Amino acid sequence: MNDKRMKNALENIARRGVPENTNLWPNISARLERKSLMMTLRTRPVLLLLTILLALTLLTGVVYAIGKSLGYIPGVGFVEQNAPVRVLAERVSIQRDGITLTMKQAVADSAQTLVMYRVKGVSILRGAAEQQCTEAPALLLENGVRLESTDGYLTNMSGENGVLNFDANFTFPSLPVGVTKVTLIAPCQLPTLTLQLVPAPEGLVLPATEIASTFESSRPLLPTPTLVAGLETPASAVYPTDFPATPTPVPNGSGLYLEKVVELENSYLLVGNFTDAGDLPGLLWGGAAEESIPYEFHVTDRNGKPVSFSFRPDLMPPSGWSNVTYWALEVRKPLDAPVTITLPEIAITIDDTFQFPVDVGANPAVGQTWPLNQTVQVGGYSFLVEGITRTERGYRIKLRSPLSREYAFYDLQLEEYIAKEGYENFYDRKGYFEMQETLVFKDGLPSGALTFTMHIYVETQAGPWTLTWSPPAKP
Amino acid sequence: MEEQQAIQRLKDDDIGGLEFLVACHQVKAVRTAYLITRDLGLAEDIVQDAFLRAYRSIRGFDSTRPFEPWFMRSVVNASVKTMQRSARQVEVGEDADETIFTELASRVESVESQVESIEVQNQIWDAMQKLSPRQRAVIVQRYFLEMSEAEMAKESGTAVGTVKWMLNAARERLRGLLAERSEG
Repeated sequence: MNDKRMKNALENIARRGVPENTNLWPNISARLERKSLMMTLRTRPVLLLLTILLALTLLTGVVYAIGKSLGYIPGVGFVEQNAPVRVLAERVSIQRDGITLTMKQAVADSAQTLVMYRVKGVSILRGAAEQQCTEAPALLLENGVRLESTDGYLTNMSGENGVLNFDANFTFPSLPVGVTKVTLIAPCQLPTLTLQLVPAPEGLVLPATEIASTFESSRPLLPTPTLVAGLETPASAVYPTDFPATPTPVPNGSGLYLEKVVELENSYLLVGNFTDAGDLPGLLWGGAAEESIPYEFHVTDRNGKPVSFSFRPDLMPPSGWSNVTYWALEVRKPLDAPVTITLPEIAITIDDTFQFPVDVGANPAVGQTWPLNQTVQVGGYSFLVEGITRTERGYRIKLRSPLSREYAFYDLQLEEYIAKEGYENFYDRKGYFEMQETLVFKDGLPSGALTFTMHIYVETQAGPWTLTWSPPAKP
Repeated sequence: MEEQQAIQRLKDDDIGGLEFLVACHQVKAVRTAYLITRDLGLAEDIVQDAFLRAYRSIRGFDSTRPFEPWFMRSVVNASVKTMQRSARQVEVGEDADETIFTELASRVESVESQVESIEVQNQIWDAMQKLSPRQRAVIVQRYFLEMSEAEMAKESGTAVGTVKWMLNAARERLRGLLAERSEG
């Protein structure tokens, strides 16, 4: 199958599935309105002052969290215990047209109400959304008050033989004290379901305390080293230098930040983030970072010995910031503090574009070469562009690279012409790597004054990044 | 209003800038997410979230660069992540109910002159269902978004060798699946 046929097929499939009159703006603007209160608060002078004070504190490398008494239910998360916590008395289900909704848990604390259920048997052919199965449910109190969800997500989706199953977790405002019965207005056009709540049985809610803690973080020297002696550092970077919006102030620039520490009986739960503050010497791509950063830590004690810990992705809050990657660890007691959390390195991409004007004349001969012998630098690495050669059906550029193929990529274009195809040859020479990029033209060979554009990407590592943390001393 | 003006307005906290960007990019973005997730509702949710993320992080965006590649990266990554997190591998394997294919086909408009291309589309759509979310994403990036391998490497933050390998593996698998269906 050729590229065009594939392209057309995907276009048509997408057109059939997604109408041209799709309009997301009403939903997006509604969600923005819900957040407007938060935005208003952000702009209030008092809060701004607090933020500045916090930022000044962070500049010293130390932040003090505010102590708070919490509870922790494994598999559910943190709960606040300013009032007795109520949970679902027993699992209940409803069923219709082959779709079953089973309420797995409901937890009502003084701050919010969480409902967790599993939906099974949704027809893939009819689509989950078309059957209103992905819609948020609502809660109806006995006094007629209806509560709408404030947050939620679907997870653990699986499907086979034409049916789809998934878990749903939705958050609602807190229930009034004393309420022990609510009605779930279920999705999927299912009948309503009565949820009976009882005080949380002893032992379900583990004691947990959000503790005052301190941390210091360090970052590696940036940018990355130059391999070839005598080369100058690139004159300018094209990457953004403004600090983007982040959940925590980042006066120390890119690096590890600790947001929350919760003490359990036998361990500590640490939730933090790696923030790209826009000051990296290259681009850290969010998608790749989210897949790698949270799972590449190691933890050592004050003597440098490894500390037993586990990754806790279930505690990582969803990130609303593309430049913020959350992580969450559970570190076992006892600890020989301080402990150091280390992210060995992050992969960043540095790129630059260079143009090489060459007049090949009206009738360039096969094998004819136009020497360039120009040195270009990307990310502190030096590349020698040797020259351009006329091939049987196109042109080839040859360059010497200090980096192997895994860490450098080259994209050659000819201005104002579209090559039918391109290919590359790569050779490991003694002391350097040779890269040949070739453009092939189908309908006539371009000639005369030509401008070749070479885009060079360098993938490099930056690290280590560390965060040192100590639990507070016991009184 | 030009795109750069819209971005600047958004950077100045003018929500009208976002409305312009939504109007310009929403259909292509939802179609991209749909090709990866195969669920219109999920695709719309993903794209809504992506626009909200863009709104929050626009101040860190270099407005001399085009918006679409930056935004589509977010949509593709979120689509893959959603599918991976949900472990939603809709298995329609050898022992699957054949009526699924029949019913899917019956939903397609049956204009005689389009039968061949519709058949091809259905074959591709069915075969793509058997690819992993990441493999679907590279197919969508390469053929639907028409990104070069260089752009894909840059957007995914991986080495180009990895992109080439993934694309090749996805193509080979797709080719094999299409051959199976043709022979069947």
